[in-house]
Amino acid sequence: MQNTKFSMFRRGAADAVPVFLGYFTVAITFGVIATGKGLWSWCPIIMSMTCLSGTGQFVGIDLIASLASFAELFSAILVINARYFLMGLSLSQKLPPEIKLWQRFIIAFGNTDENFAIAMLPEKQVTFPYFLGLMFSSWNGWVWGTVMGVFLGNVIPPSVTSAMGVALYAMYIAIIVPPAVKSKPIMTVIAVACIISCIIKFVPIFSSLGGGWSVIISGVAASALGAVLFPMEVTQDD
Amino acid sequence: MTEMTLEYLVLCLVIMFLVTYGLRMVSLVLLRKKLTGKFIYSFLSYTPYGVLGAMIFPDIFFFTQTGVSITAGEFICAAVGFATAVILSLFKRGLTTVSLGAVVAVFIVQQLMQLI
Repeated sequence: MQNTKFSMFRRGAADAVPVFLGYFTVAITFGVIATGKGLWSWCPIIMSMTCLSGTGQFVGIDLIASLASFAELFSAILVINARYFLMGLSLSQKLPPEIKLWQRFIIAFGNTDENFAIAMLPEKQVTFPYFLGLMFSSWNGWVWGTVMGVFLGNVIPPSVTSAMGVALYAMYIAIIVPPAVKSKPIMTVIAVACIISCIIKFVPIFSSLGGGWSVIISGVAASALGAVLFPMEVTQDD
Repeated sequence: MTEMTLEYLVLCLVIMFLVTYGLRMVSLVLLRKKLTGKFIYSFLSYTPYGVLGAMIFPDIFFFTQTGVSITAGEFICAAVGFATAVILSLFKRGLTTVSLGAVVAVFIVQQLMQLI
């Protein structure tokens, strides 16, 4: 029994290897920037250990360094990270019934964009040990990357860091392309989300909305359209 | 005007943790039933694709950007990364292969461009 739990954990940790690599390089940059702003070295490290959130932390460290008010920090992080609420709703439907309440409190901590994306792959059985495996790889990548950035600076040559910037996007593509090719509804949802997100980015009136709102508005609108145009049969398989 | 004190930093870290964790936790812990309404079930099944689509586009074309606006060379590198990821995904390669394949492709193109 222990053995199978451990093998599920290992599978999760292995599936999140691209997350580890992507986080590690981004976290080095985060550590370097945070140190450059003159913050005590433990501050970005504790932040990485407790938040595990990319964009939120970059904005957060910026605001903290400029001595923003608590209300400002609170509302900025709320808007940037509001998508996690949506992802929590979606993941809650995927978790099997044997997952206990206390386990949900732990899973929630690791429900980042990337872990969510992997966990929602149709072929993945999301058990508690499996999700812990995902969290193990991503947390270590993020935290150790931050530690490296804070204490050693840019240890990775800029050319490599720049190329590594594609790692997480490529992983998202690897997640959505195979189901999109097989299913017209999924393809439509993705296309609509991309179009709305491009409109928000490039049309000047909307571009002030920023990335946090953009992901939510595009994601909600596209999924809602998908649900109207291509309703699914409710399956109660698990 | 606040000062950069220990109290300020600790409170900021607490706020960031509470907001980030709170958003992730509330929906996952409060919604424990399987929803059976056709619309909401379909909506939440499509959500990962909608959210991921919006996170990829158009940002993937700008990840190489260093200045205020993107240069042609930076855009080409990003486009190569995008194309490599799509092609490898069509061949159903694993997440790590696709991810590293795109990184290597971008790296090679960046190096080639420096030679030109």
